[in-house]
Amino acid sequence: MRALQGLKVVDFTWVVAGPICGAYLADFGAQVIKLESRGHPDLCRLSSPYKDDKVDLDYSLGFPVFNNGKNSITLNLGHRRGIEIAKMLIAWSDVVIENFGPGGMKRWGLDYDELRKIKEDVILVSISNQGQSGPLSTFKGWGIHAAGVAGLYHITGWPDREPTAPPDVYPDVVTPVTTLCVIMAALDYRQRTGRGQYIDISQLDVALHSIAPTILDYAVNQNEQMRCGNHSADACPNNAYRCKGDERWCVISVSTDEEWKTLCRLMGSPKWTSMSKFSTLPGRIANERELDELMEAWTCRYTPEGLALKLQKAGIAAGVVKTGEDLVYRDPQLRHRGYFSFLNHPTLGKYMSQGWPVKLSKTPYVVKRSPLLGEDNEFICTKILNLSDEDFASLVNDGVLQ
Amino acid sequence: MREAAWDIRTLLSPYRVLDLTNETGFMCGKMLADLGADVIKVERPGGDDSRKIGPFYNNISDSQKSLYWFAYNTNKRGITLDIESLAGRNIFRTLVGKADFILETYAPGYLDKLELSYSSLKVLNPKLIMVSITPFGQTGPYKDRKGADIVHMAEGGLMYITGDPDRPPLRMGGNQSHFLAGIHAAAGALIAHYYRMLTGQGQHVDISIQEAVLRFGYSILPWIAGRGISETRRGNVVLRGNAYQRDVWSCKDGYVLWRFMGGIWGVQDWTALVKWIDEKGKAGILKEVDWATIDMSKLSQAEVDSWNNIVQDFFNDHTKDEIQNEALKRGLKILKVYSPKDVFESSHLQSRGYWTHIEHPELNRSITYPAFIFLSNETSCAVNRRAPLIGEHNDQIYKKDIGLSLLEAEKLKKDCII
Repeated sequence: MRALQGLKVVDFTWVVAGPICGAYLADFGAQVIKLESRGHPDLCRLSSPYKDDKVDLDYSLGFPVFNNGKNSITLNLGHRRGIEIAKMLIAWSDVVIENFGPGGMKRWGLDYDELRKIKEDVILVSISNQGQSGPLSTFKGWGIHAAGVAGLYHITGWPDREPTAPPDVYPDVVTPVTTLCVIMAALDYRQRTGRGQYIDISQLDVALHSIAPTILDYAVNQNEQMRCGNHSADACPNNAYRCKGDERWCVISVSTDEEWKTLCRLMGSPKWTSMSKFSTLPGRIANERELDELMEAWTCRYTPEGLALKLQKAGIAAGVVKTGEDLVYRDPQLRHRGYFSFLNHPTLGKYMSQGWPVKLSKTPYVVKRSPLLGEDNEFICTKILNLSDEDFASLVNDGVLQ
Repeated sequence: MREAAWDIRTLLSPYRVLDLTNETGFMCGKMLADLGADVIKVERPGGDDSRKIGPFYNNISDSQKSLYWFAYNTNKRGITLDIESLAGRNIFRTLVGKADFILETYAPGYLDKLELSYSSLKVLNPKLIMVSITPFGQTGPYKDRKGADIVHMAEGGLMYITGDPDRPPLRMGGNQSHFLAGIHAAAGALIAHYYRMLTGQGQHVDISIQEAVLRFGYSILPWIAGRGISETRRGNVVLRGNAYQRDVWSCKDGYVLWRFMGGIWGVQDWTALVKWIDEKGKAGILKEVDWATIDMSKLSQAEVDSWNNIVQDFFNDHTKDEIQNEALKRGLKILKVYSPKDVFESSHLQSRGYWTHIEHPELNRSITYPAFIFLSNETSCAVNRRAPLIGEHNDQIYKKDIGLSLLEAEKLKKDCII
């Protein structure tokens, strides 16, 4: 039995921030039906890279990252009967997720009040950039904008240079995980009370929690925290250091004076390590730039893997700045945990997929391939909605199913 | 046992969580607490080391005044307990009998030695869900490795793609690996909770922070796609099609965010932007482009740069507020890069009621916090109380809740167990 066995989800979402939530649910056993449109396909079906460079809605290699494990139906919501089918699916479901922005669902007569008429205890979740209310609510932006308004760009980068990505996709990734938590809790609430609800969750609200201490620092102390490279107030050294090889780097983080003494010993106790200005954390922080240069003169003689192992054995937090190649092909830990798996797909062939950072002892996740566009039209109509073969044929002929 | 005053219209009000996490797990407990669960932070006598993380109230280091602690431990109660002592372990087992979730961040094997691992505790409470958060997970060759935010970010592949080419790889601001681990841990806890609702069975949830970071990173996507191109750090540009594009643009007094998109995704923005620039007489060659048919995959870098230069010059003539306000009027997707002050003063957040003032009697004042993670027509997600002081709720829990006598409690206190 799967963890989310029997959970039924209708997924209206597209691009990234919404779809990840449905994929997460699907991999843990929920049945997730993705409502798609051939006329306005999910942007991720239109994203390179494509398998064999074939620009086709079923060949994007990016799409599966956010849509594994779902069933796809291509429904023409411009058609009256398309809306009817959508309503039948909503009546069947436990949870409906959408991310069209404020007013999007209302355009089709599928807002919360209408949905309640179909299903009294429906749980409708709206994921948006800036929330369903407030002056910026109608702003339909990208993850970068939520990250910008949340202050994430401001605090990422070097102090003497412009703000730096990757906050660009951060809200896209943290919002669906948080949304999943709220959905699970709403299902528990419904189980206990018999009541559904409407949930308004935004990339901005979630992303802001990721820098809550920075916000409090301003609220309380009026400190305007600034981007500060890899600097930390709680550890020094705390940086990436060049190692042997082309663009090979290790990271080292030393938070206590004990660890610092151990590190000095591992470096062979060169003379500079005995300088008193480096003996305490405040001293090391005050002389961080000089310290980093001295450290790097040592690290560049070793491979990052060898150095990380050596330092970890001595109880110092260290690691390798891993490349995509390192992670996919050479990471012994990820291999042990089976993080990547291979899936077979009708158009993509064999492709590699990520797992989730969550291992459940009794009901582990199982990653399944992503659907072709409209692949499950017949299954959904005849097996889930129990329409007759004739009805299904007429839906196809009339362009309700695209 | 809930306190009567608690708002019952919260999602997870019937459930109790014992939260033994350090900073890598704070957000997990915070999420469950904000969703309404009764989260009890269990610290060692004298308080946990994670209280020493800055920034601090009034910039003075004090383990009762860490703003990092404040931010991520709201809505939780707090007790102290030495789980390494025999008496402490017995009390812990009593607490476990009444708990629905345990959250912990100890090194794998530590709780085993104390006979408090999941396999021991599930005998006491088969419904128990135990969530363990560690840098690399509970098993595997790296399981005993030590973590730190910069280590998680590096090992999860995010640093290699972040930063400027002439400087070392870079981590994000704030301890984002802890936030990522926390939200995934809460997701895992609640997925397990759903299964418990169906079957009555608990289980062990094993979270790897490396994987939480990796799931965020797109660095590996080209490898998964079989392209063999390891994307590296290139400052602020991202490869889209065959040309590098930027999202961050400088302006007169800061930065704004705008994404260059082609074809149907970009035509509305480009048209509005070119019109605006043209009103200042500076659109030049931008006026000659048919934005609706631009194919991103066919643009050369020189072409992209020739357009970008005009846009950049235009932004440089304006302040971030001028650009944002005008862009909003024109339906353009441009917002400024908000500083903490901008965030705090945002009229948008204020109108959503995003800030809440929570009393800190010990400081004789209130402090403003982010109020919610989501809004609902039916249930509330709110910050109701500040983070606990060290051992603040020992009396509530030990005497009222598990019924220790005054004498027993005094003895435990004397022996430094609570």
